[in-house]
Amino acid sequence: NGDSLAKMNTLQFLPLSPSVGVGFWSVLMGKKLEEWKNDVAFQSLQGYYTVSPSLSSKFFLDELAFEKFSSTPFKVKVPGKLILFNTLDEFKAFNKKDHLHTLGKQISASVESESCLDRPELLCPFSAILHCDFKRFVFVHWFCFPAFASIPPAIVDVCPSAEWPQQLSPHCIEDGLTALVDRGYSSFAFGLQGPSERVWTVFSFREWVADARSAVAKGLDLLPILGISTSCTSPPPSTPTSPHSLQMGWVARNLLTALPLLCPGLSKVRILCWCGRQSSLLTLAYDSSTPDLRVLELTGYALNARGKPGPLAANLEHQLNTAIVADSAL
Amino acid sequence: MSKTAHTILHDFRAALTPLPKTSDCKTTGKITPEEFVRTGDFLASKCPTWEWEKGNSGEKSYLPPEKQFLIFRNVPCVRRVGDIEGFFSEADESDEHWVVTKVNQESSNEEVLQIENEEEVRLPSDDDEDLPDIEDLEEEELLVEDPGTVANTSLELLATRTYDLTLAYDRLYQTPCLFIIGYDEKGNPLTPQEMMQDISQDHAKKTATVEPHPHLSGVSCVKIHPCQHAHTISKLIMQMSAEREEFIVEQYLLLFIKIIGTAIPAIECDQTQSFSL
Repeated sequence: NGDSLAKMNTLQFLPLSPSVGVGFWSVLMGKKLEEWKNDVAFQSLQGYYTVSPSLSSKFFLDELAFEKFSSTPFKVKVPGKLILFNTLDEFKAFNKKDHLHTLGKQISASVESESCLDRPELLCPFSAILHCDFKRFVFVHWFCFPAFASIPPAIVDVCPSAEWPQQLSPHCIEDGLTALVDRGYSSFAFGLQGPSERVWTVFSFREWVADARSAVAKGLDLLPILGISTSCTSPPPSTPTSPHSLQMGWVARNLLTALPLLCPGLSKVRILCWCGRQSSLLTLAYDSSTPDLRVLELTGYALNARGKPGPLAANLEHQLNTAIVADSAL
Repeated sequence: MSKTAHTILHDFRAALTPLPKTSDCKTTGKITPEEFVRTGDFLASKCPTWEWEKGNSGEKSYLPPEKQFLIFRNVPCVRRVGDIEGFFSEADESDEHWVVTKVNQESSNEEVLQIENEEEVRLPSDDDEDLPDIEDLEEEELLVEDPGTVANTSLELLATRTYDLTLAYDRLYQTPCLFIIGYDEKGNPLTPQEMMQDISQDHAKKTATVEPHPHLSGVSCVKIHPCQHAHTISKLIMQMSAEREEFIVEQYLLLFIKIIGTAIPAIECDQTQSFSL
């Protein structure tokens, strides 16, 4: 598909669409009733997205939300906050815009302190704002995936898959990623250097940034490749005359926005959107300005099925209510 | 969550069933808990999409705490069973209770369907008076003009149901047992009745029941009853032996998944095609 992608000229990011598992509500119900009681709960939790073109926009929150689990090359963990309200009025009164700005400041701080180099996932946090009626099994949820609303870097080139170096096959990269995970890195961003002696080396995001800074300082044009575990797809144009575009996963967004801050002087970067056999290799160009994260507008609240910023509601009586399940048994 | 009458009776009978200590898998099709762990380890190593989990209830002392059940999440289910044309035309009769079918690969590999207009997106509030008025909770001021965001995502969503598949050990029948939990195209949990649409009609009428998940507290799911599993597996093992193919117990779950696929033909659960038995 690389040949057709080479003609694309616009990069956009595909917002995450949350999928909340029944297991999450079950675990949450237990924690709320047995541990947190009536307190408004601000708890840490984690969700994940799966690296797959068919599920590229899906974000999953399930019974693992309060467990420890590690990212794998195919399943990337995202840290988040749970904000749970006892009443719908409290849910409604919560100042969501202020909350978005708080999250934006936290992301900026992780860039300034460079803590995002060791934990790139700090660049793509989420908040789950919930109201749960555990008596009626009615759940209202609104997710926020904060991102700086900036203009994405331009697409300079998409390397046709037929022209990829043989050593850059999804199989080889998967082996490298597995080795990276085995070394304790659990990240969606990684570096790729090579080939050296016909082998590509996979290394951490911090190491990629160090190499990139060094290459920029020397005026070198060929930076190591930045790998991001996410899909990059080309949707069909809505009309024959509409511009073509590439859609990258939402988690890459803040990382690509912050890159010129982390590597001053960066003008071009080669990105491998690693998605197994559906990977894409592209070159992006930045304009000469350095972004100021403090003044960029923020976006990220999930839209409801009407396309409006608003929560979703679910009635899980048939999935969680004992009496109804018993009646359903055949 | 209290249990259904079925589950109570099943658990009572299981508790009275002594745990098998010696293996006679090749003749009976049954496995011991220790063999379940071994074949589960093998499956997880060959197909990393299957993972061990401990769950939050119903821990079995005869299984390691971290290996209570296997789960394969987010398995696509592109179409309903009734939509798979010619599915049973290629069926290979291997047993009076089960068939080993060949799913129409051409159709199952097609691009997933796109939702063509917003009317097709099922709004939970449309048919449920218990839900709060979502429109009252919308906050228009949070909408940001943003050149970097793909617009109209609700129209771009892939119209794909997904399933979480669980394989747990059934002490009574001494075989693995499949439980499924489904989600609609928007990620909302499916009702048991909706999940039944993705079970082959033969099984939906005979061996699929709504039960509590064995290791997730308070979660209902659809269970494929394991009463025929051992019989079917032992026949296939005998068939493999007749064809001079060696069967080792580690391969048990690979074989099991191929068989269970007949009950859930539209759920793309078999990622093991590249492994020969």
